[in-house]
Amino acid sequence: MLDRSIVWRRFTRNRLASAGAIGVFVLVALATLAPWVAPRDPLYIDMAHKFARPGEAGFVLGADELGRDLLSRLLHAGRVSLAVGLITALIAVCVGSILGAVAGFYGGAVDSAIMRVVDVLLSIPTIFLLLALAAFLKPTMLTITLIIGLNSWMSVARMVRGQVLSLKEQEFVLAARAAGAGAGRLIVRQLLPNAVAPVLVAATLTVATAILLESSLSYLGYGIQPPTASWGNMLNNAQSYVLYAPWVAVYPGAMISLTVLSFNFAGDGLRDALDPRLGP
Amino acid sequence: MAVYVLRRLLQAVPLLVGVSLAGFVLLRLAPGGPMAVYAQNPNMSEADLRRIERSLGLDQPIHVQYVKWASGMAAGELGYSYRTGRPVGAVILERLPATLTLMGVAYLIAIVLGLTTGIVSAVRRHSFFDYVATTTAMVGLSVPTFWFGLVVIIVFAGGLRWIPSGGMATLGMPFSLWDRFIHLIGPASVLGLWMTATWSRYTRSSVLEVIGQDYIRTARAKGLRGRTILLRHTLRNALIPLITLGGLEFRNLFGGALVTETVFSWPGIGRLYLDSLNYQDYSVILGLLLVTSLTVVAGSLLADLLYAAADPRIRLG
Repeated sequence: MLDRSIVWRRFTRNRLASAGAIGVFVLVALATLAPWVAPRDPLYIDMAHKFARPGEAGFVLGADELGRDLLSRLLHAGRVSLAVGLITALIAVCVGSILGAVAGFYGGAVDSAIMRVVDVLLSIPTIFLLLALAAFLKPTMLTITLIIGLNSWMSVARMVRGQVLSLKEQEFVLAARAAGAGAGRLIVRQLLPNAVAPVLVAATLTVATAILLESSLSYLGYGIQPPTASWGNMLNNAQSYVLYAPWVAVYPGAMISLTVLSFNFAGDGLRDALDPRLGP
Repeated sequence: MAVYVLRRLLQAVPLLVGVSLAGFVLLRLAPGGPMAVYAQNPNMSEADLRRIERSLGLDQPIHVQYVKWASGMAAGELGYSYRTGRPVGAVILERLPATLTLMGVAYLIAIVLGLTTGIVSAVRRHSFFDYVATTTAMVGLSVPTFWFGLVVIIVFAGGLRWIPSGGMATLGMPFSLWDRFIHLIGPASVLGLWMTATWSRYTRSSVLEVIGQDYIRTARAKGLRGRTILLRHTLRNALIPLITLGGLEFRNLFGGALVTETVFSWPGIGRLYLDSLNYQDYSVILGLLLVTSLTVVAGSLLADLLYAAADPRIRLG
């Protein structure tokens, strides 16, 4: 395990990674403070100002097809999109770590059973599967979070399994085993803590993918349902007016891109900072 | 080699069973199951519903249903659309050419652009070009495809009026290759550029990996020209791992195509899938899930076989 101060120094020296981390911090802060920062009620319909241009009549970023304030909607939608992304990543990382560790630790039939499930899930195009699930279950924030989370754990599981396979024959694990530690204790106390670095990187990058998946689902009409705004469903009807009110479509997508980019830069920087093969 | 091919083919069998089982279970999750669309019809009596249920074999135990259904699938019998009554196979085949054209052109763009930028990035590591290319690739991976598509429409269809804002051909116009081409530019570039990001990142890291090897240093120490080292020693080894990526990308390609087709109203299987979801046309949904998954499995199988053929280091046995 690397010294924490070395990791910190490497991460902060990487400009893109720092920018990503600051971006994540600012976006999370804005989303958390949305009810206090937003200038208007994000759901207040004001048909007199339908498609108000940015800056017009006090709408800083303009208004949408129902005259709702775009800035306020963006801030509130950020809470939804970020919450879904973060919780999804948490689910994916937990499920992936546990199943990956179990597969790697026990090997044999357990391993092949878990890995075949991974193979099957990795053969079905994600969006197709998510759409079918979202269409069949009631699309609420909870179900959307669950179905994306339960479709995002496979790469974490493969990675953790690999880690466990290489760790489980090492001396400290053998020592713990000789001292009488059971399987559960070995996995939780010895194996998983030593796989924390790659899992942390995977978690950060999973948030990015999860936000993208949620936004695609919501854009297609099968994700977060109106009137609750998410960055994806704000683009839901964008097709029909994109040519005469482009700002309505441009801002939500820009927010998604900015958020995903921040998480990706932070995750990439974290990977480099935690890589023991690179110098200090 | 023959043994390897056979073994790899056999490995794909449980995968296909798994995929079909997943699809079958998934459809039982659907509200009301396959009968939902009939149950909503007020002209149907309870007796009519029972009769349809029996004619569809839905009154039999679930494992019997699966075996019957799966053996039908294996024989290429995908069933009939609940909505139109047409064979699912025919419905899908009708839409497939549009999607394949889109995916093919996008794939070509991604490979040509991705390989070039990836190789140049790696060879001139830490140069200005490398910096711009890697940052752009990261941005490309972070921008949602549908939004990128919308921005392309705003700029190139709305502002500049260079391309049409959607569709595959101008309505009411006789077939013309130019018209088709101009409609293809938007969706194919959006999908292609999105994939280019992945390809250039993989190519860059693969080339960098090889450049660090001892045999490259040896080649340089021998006094070989840079060009020779790059073409004969570096690329020949660095490009082999990319075959795997070529197989893996099919899964993302279908997802990307579905979203791109929606943005550009491209009449492919992605649109068909969304329409079928809207109409609860379960047999078409299942058919598309299976056809796309089958392609993904076939893609990775093909990639593995090509890899084995290209890389003599893989010892078969």
